[in-house]
Parts: sequence; structure tokens; C-alpha cells
Amino acid sequence: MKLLDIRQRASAGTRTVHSWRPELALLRAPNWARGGCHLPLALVGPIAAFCLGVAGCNEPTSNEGGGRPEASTVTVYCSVDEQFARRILDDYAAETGARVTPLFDSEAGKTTGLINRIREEADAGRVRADVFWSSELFGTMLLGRDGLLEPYRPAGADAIPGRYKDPGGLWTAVANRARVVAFDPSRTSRSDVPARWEDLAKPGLVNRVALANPLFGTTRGHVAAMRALWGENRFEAFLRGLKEGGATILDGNSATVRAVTSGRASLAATDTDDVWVFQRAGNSLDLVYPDMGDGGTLLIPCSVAILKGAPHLTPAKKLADFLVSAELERALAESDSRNIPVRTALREKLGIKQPPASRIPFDAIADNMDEAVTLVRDILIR
Amino acid sequence: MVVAIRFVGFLAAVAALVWPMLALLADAGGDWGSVSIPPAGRILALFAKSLALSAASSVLAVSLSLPIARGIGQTGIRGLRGASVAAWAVVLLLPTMVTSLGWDRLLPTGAPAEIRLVLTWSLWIWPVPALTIGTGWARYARPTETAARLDGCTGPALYFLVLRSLSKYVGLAMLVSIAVLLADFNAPHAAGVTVFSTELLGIAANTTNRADVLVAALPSITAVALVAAVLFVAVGRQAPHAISAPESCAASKTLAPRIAQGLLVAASVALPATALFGALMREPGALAETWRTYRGDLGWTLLVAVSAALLGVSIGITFARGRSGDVLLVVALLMGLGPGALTGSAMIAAYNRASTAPIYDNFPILVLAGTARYAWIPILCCRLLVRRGSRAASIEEQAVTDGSDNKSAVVRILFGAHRGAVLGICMIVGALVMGEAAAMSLVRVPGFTPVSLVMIEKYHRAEDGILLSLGLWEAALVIACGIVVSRLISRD
Repeated sequence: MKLLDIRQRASAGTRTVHSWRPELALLRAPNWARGGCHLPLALVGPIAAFCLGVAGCNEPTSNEGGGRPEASTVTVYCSVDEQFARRILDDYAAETGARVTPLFDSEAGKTTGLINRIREEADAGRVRADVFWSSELFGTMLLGRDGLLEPYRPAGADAIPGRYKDPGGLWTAVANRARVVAFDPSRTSRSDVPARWEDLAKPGLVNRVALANPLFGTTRGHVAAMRALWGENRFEAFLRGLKEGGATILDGNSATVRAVTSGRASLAATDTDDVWVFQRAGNSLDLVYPDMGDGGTLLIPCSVAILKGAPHLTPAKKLADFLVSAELERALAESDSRNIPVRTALREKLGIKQPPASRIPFDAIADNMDEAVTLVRDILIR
Repeated sequence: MVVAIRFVGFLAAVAALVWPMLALLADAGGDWGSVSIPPAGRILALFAKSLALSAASSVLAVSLSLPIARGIGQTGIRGLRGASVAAWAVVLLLPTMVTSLGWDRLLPTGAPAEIRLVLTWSLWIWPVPALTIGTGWARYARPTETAARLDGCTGPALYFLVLRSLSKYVGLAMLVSIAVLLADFNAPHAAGVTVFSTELLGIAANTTNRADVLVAALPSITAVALVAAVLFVAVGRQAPHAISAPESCAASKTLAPRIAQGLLVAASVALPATALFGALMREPGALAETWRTYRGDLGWTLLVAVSAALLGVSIGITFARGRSGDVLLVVALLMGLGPGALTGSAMIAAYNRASTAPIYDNFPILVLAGTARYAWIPILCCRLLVRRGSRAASIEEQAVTDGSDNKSAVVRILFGAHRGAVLGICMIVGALVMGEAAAMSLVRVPGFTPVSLVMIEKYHRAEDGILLSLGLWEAALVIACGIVVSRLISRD
């Protein structure tokens, strides 16, 4: 008996099979190959969406390009708390009619990840973002030093103290957070928490300390400030004390606070907003503002900058004006992050007391960043 | 349709695997002289720590999964109930960030984070060894089990005898479990344990030098090469003939596997989720609020996952045979079993250019990253299904004898005889893509945040109610999709 070709059987739409080849029944073409259309749609749908995603979502990358008018579109890279920033940007978009497309950092990559992305896109000759709204300042300063920022003095920046503005207009900073040591008052007494940052590395205490990896984030800026203020020898001794004493290095500031709340650590070197957030969630937490050695702790502001080569310059400037405004600084102060306004008048109006602050210039911190990171890598992270 | 699938598979393989790997190597080639990474001692120590934790978790997962594997052995894969498949989908799909947080509340204060990590990992990955060992048990070990029972063996002695005959399957289950866990970022990040994958993401996110990432990833690349060698031996060997079990053995289904499965699912999902329900009760509107705020992100994440899963399966079907499939499997293993940071870096190297802006600036880059991370699963599974000596291969030989070309025969066999397996692979890949954080964090696009990254953010902001809500919505969406697709398939 001549065997039917499988293709012929499939196109005939028959399900009959020669009894002496039962395995070939398995090869009957599925319903979709005989005219049914369920599975192809399941395949075509995502493939079509893929194509739509490529074709339909493309934004013009130059002001001269076609597409949406420049005035209505702005892309912002943002490392400020996403929940809050998303709401702020949505409100701004609703009020102004602008189309704001944010890209947030993640705890996985942090602010330095966003900064790196900006560098890579600039290296590739295609600047994608217009505005960089960062939760810290020092990475922004380094971008400015590398010529990746567009000078612009936002409207309303006159009331901002000179310390928080770049002389060349490359960045503007608002809304401070403080570096603090967090602890659980039900397990640790306040008198056991060191009053100076340098004392964190003291024996007997250091093995219960958790801090975020100093190669990234605000902790990187903090260790740079330590090197700038204490000098290389004292800074090295501090790092060795942490290393030999068994301080715990974790992925981020919030991880250190979690270590305290879960009992794995007694003290966490972190930022104020992480403490407020965990307190709001019902955890037993308190904080201390240790002294850097010059009268106060380090305050780290958020920063706003326009990227050089930004595809949509005019709407970028308008957004920058908004992001450094007193109105927004007030909103940040009243949010869960409880940022401290840089405007003295606004602080007084809101009744916010600024903790004693280190007077170290931000430029000195940026100058010491690379050396501090090298020492951290050689001594602490090995 | 066969031609279309093969075309899509070929294109996807080039776009997601081959081109990014070549681009990464080319980019890194110019930067070797300026490598700057943490000291080698730290990298190697972290890798060893990761290996130890993964191995411990895999041993625990394999042990826990044995009663369920035995149940599969008795009924066969086709005997799996829809409820079981749905339960496994929930276990695989509920984000490890959620379960880790739950275990944080269940374990005593001060418990080492490594214990939390091992518990989270083993209670997440156990369906993989259950399926792997169960498949082998159904195909080859029933006569051994019958003979052992007739000899009076029960309990551990029975398992010992049967598992000896299934040592290859047990080994494969361990290997796959260790490999998947070694590459995982979410669970260690949630547990606060610094491991190789978390360290590598930090390096990748903070450098523009591709060579940094490649050099730091060398221990992982070496390990993947060893895994690839073992898998090639396993796949390349002729499959032993499946033995038809006597009816009496197949019919001896006990309640024990179902009870074991129920207990495991409860421990994997219900227990940690219950521990978090307190947070949900404190925020009663969290479920609705999460849907309102994040439904767009949930929808896009699902679309990315489905697209990546289908592209991955099309790659697997296209390259189920031939030497090119061997090479592609190696590349896929490097992209998939290496850390997510390596995959993300490769995507940046490949597509961060003016000519590929439409891909890099939009969601297709996420689809490609997801495909690259998990294409190794469908490629490996499809090659196993049609390898020499297998039932599928004998059908293919007959089809070729009848005049069909073997490429289209392979496609038809996989869709005809192994539809269930193809669907299962699709669902597993989709579930894994939804949970992928490390690679996605490097290639994320403006205007859309993958849910895995939203969950990391919520975890770090102590918004446990929203975190749990996101996990539940994610699980519900995927299970709904899985039910719809399986019903469509079963009508054929």
C-alpha cells in the first residue's frame, strides 16, 4: 500500500491514519494548519506588537526632525523616589500639556547606573534624555566636568543659596537629605550610637554596623567627603577599621535599614528618607546625625541639570524651572521623603529645622571621588 | 506557517543572541587595557559563595520534589491535572521578592539572611526537579519501581533504588537548578545577601567599559562552559528506549504525591503570602490602588513576557536540529546562565547606536533581553525532545521516508506530539521573563517600568502591601493567559 505524503494528508484535512502507522497520527496537522486560526493569532499578536513598538513609539531625536512638536515632549532621567516623582511629573504634564517621559533608576542600578547610561548615550552620539533629575549632586557635578551638561540658570533660582548652584549654570540643587545612623531604640540605646562618623569603625561597635556599598550612590559621595575632610591617612584608618571589624556591606541604603529592622545589624549608615519610609511602615527606628568633624553631618541635595545635546531644549528648560521651584521644594519637604529645603525662608515658613551641617564644599567632595573609590576598592571591598 | 516560524526563529536568534554576543566581544576588545573591577579575590569569593548557596538550595529542592516526581512517574506528564499545572505556575511566577519578604517575617529576628535565601530559592525552584525527575521516572523507572515494591521496598529504600536508575535525571535536575539559581538576582537582592550576580550588576551599571563586565563575569562564563559540556553529552547521547510500564504500576496512584504537592505549594506560596497579608490589611485599598497605578506596567510586562516566550520557543523549534543549534545553545547558555548584567551589557553594546535607536529606545529591547535570558530553555528542551533514539526522532524518520523534509517534520512533530511540552516551556519562559530584573534594569526604556523593577522599588520603600498586590496581580494575569492558551490548544 502506498503511503500518503504527510503534507497531502494535512492539506486534505483528514484525521484518518493507516492503522499500521499509528505514530503518524501524531503528525496530523493541528487545527490551525488546516484553517483554524487560534494559535497563529497568539503568535501574530505579539509579533505585531513588536513591530508596532518599533515603528510607532519612535521619538524624533533632533529638533529638526518631524513628528511631535518640540514644545510638547520632554524626556527626564530621574533617580528621585519614583512614587513621588511619577506623581509630580504627571501633575506637571497635566498642567502644562507637555508629554513627559520619565526613566527612573532602580535600586538595582541606582543613580550611578543612570549617570552611566547618560555617558554611554553621549558616547554613542545619541543623547536621548533632556533633563537629569538626580537624588544626589556629585554624579551630576562629574557629568558637568566632563562637558555633558548644558548651561542654564532656571527661573526662580535666585533665592537658592550660592552653594547649591553651579557658577557656570550647569546644575542647580534643592531639597537636602542628611546622612545619618539609624538604629532600633528597642534594641539599641541612643548613648551607644557614635556621635562622630569616624567612631563608627571603633572596635566593639563596628561588627554591628551595616553600610551600603561605598562604590555607588550617596555612600560614594559620603566617603569622598570623608577623604576630603579627614585626609588620606585618617580615611584609610577608618576603612581598615570597618574591614577588620567586620562591618556588613550591603547593596543599598534601604538594605542597611532592613538589616536593622530584622535584627541582623544594630546600626545603619543611611539617608534620612530611608529612615522616614521605614518608620511610616511601622518599624521601630530612630536616627542620629553624627558629626563629620567640622560641626555637622553631610547634607546631600537633589540636583537638576539639562543634558548637552538634549533633543527638546525648550520644554527641558521649562521642566527645569519647575523642578527647582519653591513649590516643588515644598512638596518634597511635605512628602514621605521629608527633604530639607535649601531656601532658608521656606524652611522657616514650614517650621523645618535643619540639622547641624558639614561645611565642606561640594567641589572638594567631587575632587576626592576617584581617590576615595580606589581606596574603598583596595581596602574595604576585597 | 512552518516557513514563518523558522524565519521568525532565525531572526530572533540573530537579534537576541548572536548579534549582542558579537557586539559585546567587539566592544570589550578595545577596552582590555583599562579594566577596573573589584579585586579578583573578592569576585572569586563571591562566586564560590553563590555556588555553595545555589547547591544547598538545589539539594533541598530536589529532596522536597521527590514525592511529586514519583506522582508524575505514576501518571505520566499527560496525567498532570490542570490544578497542578496552575499551582506550579503560581510557585514559579510569584516573585521571589514577595516570598523572601514573607520569610523575613516568619523567621526569628536575627536569623541569617543566607537561610532566608536558601528557603526562598528551594521553595521556588522545586517544580523544575519535580518535572525533570518525574519525566524520567514515567519513561524509564516504572519497572524498577514495580520490582522494588514486589520485593517489599517502601519509603526511602524505594526512592534510593529508583533514583539510582534515574541518576542522569537527578544530575540534570541538580545542574539546571544550580545554574538557574546562580544567575538569579532577585532573591539574593531581597534577602540582602551579596552574591556574584548582585555584585556584577553593580559593576555593569557603573561602568561604560564592556571589558569590566566580561572580565568580572569570567568565573560564571567558565561555569557555564562546563554546564554546556555536560548538557551536550546528555543531549547528544541516544535516548534509551522508553519502557512501557505495566498497567498495574501506572494505575497505582496514591494520595501521597498530591498531599506532598499541596504541602509544598502551601509552603512556597501560601505561608509567605499569609505573613504579608497583615501589610495588605493595613493598606486595604492596596490591591485596587496597585491596579489603578500599575496596570499599564503590568500589561506591558505581560506583553514583553509573552513576546519573549514565543520568540524563544520559535528559536527552540528552528534550531532543534543541526550543528548550528549546538553553537546557538552555547551562546544561549552564556546569555542565560551568566548573570543578567552580562546579558544587559550585551544588549547595550548591540543596540545603543543611532541605526538601532527604534529598538533601543522602545520596548523591543526588553523583549530581546528577555528572549536572550531564557532562550536556552526552549532550545535545550526542543533538542532533547527530538534527539536521536527518541520517539519523536523515530516519527521523523518515518516522515522523511514518506517524503517529508525533515525540517518541517520536526516543526510538525513538536506541535503535534509535544504540544503540551511546548506550551509548558512557553509558560515557564514567560514566567521567568516577568521576574527578570538585572538585565531589564540596564535596558529599561522611558515611559514604562517592568514590574520586576517596580517591585524592587516597592521593596526598598517598605511598601509591602503594594509589593504583595503586584505579585498577586502578576500571578493572576499569567495564570489567566495560561488557562486561555491551554484551552485553545486542547481544542485541536
